[in-house]
Amino acid sequence: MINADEIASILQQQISEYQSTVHEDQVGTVIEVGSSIARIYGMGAVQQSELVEFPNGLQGIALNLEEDNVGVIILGPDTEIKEGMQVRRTGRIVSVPVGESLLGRVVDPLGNPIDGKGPIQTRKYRTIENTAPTVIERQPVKQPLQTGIRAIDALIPIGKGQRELIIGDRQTGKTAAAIDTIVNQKGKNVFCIYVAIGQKSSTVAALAQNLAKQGALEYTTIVAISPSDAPALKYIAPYAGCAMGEELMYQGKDVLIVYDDLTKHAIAYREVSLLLRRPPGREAYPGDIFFLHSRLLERAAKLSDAMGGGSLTALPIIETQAGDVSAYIPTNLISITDGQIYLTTGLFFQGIRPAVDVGISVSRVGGSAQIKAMRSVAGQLKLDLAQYRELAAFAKLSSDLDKTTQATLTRGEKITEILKQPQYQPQAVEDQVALIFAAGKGYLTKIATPRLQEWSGRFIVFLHEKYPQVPKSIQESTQLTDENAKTLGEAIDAFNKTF
Amino acid sequence: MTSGTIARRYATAIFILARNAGILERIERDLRGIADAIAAKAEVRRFFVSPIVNRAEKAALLERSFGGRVDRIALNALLLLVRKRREALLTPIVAEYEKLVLAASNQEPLDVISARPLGAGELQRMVERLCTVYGKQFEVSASVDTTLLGGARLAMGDRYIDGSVSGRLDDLARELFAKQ
Repeated sequence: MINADEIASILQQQISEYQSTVHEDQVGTVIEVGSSIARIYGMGAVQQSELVEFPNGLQGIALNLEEDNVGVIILGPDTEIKEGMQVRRTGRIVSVPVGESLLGRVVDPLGNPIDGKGPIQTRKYRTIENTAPTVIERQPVKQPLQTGIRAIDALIPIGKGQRELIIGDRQTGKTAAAIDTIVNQKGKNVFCIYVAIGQKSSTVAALAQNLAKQGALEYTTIVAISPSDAPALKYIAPYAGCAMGEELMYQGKDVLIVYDDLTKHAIAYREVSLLLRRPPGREAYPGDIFFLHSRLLERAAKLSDAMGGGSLTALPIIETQAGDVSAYIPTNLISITDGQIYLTTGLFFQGIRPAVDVGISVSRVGGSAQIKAMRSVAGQLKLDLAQYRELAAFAKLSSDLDKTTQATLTRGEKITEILKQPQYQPQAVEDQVALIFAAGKGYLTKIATPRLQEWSGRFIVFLHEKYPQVPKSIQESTQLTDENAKTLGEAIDAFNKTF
Repeated sequence: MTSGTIARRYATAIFILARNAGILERIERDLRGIADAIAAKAEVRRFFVSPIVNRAEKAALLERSFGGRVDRIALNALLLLVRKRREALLTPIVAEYEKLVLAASNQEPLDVISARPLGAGELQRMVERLCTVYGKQFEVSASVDTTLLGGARLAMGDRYIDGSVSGRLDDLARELFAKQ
């Protein structure tokens, strides 16, 4: 039975012993604000890249520590900031929510949901800036990350923990290649993060819908920032996405992250740097533009078994102008990454899609990122295509050429046709092996080139129906044994008779 | 470069000379005296900052006016400002110098803003407690702001302690908005 006197006595004791606590803040005053930048007077002990807070809850990052003021980039609309406002230090770096509760969600670079599906349920936060894994903490990249795109998996293979640049002019299929890679991770226990930097909200909405339709959104997080948002948010967006991926990587999971695109990211950083009056360098970019991307991409890695064996594979996208890969930002990214997939407008409009220029595309990880079966059939492919390209100028004179040249041209033509692939139709690696085997061994010579797409679709169905042991064996053993190669040859011959 | 930065550099130079000579307070008095004398009359101020007055003549006049009455360091600093055409910075230089002297004597300015006037004993106890915690002496200025509702706010340079009721309400609002 509760005694009212006892309660009163407890309350009396608590009131008499009540001690209010106060804490000390370090503050500064806004002396100038505009164009998403604020200059703060005071706050002398603020640290580089520290998060500061404005009275209305808006946050900023201290980027310029000058002699008599601090330059802060504002993570939101600067219209709410006024001269004379007091700004306080928080003593920490910007953090974002992380964890599996972000999967299937569309968030902004601060981790706030923008898909209308309610708040993110997580207690875990991670700073957006983190040091990359050291040499000892890594192991070599040797597990394949299948994109499902034949041209890439056969000729420019990507491994888990690799950084592979996707580079090309506008409208060449860069995003399409990245999205197909994400869609192909279904059922493979690879989590995906897509960072949309400065892309139209309508584009991001359509993308999210497409991923949902393909069943890929449930294992994907989309970090989106529109062109009309503050440049500071575009600046931190890739780091926020990387932090979300790192959390899963350090839990031993495999993660794929797509940065679409880093050209817009570089432009946003140039914007804030110029507004902060940092000295402009080449093409008006600040002097640390290389470090901007190198410290981001170094965080992609394959961790050692002692660290959990997780991986973060990065697919940064860069847009070139008029095919100029020797421009400043593209050359920076090419030197940072472990290879590039170069998509050209010429190939795209010739109908070769994905418009991968295999001549200048490269994967520095190479065969280590391929299963043995693919390595055995794709090895000859690159050579055949190189020979085909060399002779391509003579293609129009085909009736006047010797048999060897004609054969090389025919083989190259068939391989080029087989490597074409529609969007949103990523293919399992065992099926890719079968098709590339057929193309490389000359089984397609008698099939009319315009019918090869139809042939490849129907052949795969035929293979799974009549010879299921072949793709199953490749899937399980990752090898193409001599016996299976013989069976595969027989299957192709049998199908060709009925095609 | 802002004028505050330039003023601070001049003030630092004067401070180092004064400290080496062991006459920090004397120079502070001299500089304050010079600044106040020039600011006292409008025509004197206009003459002092005018760019069309011959520098040599201006310097000679200032030497006659202040020579023998102020320390040589203070006078030389004034003549240097004339030579460099930085006369307009005299007041901010003096203000920066005073801050440096305060910091050197381990003193800091302290603003106490309370919701109601504090009794002498209350203020003294608060300041003594702060001196103990921070190991410094404070130059106190107290004021009243009823919008605080209760409690007080303390500002010591960049450091800020908000023990007021309105401050706690602001913290609460910030926390609620952050969760949303």
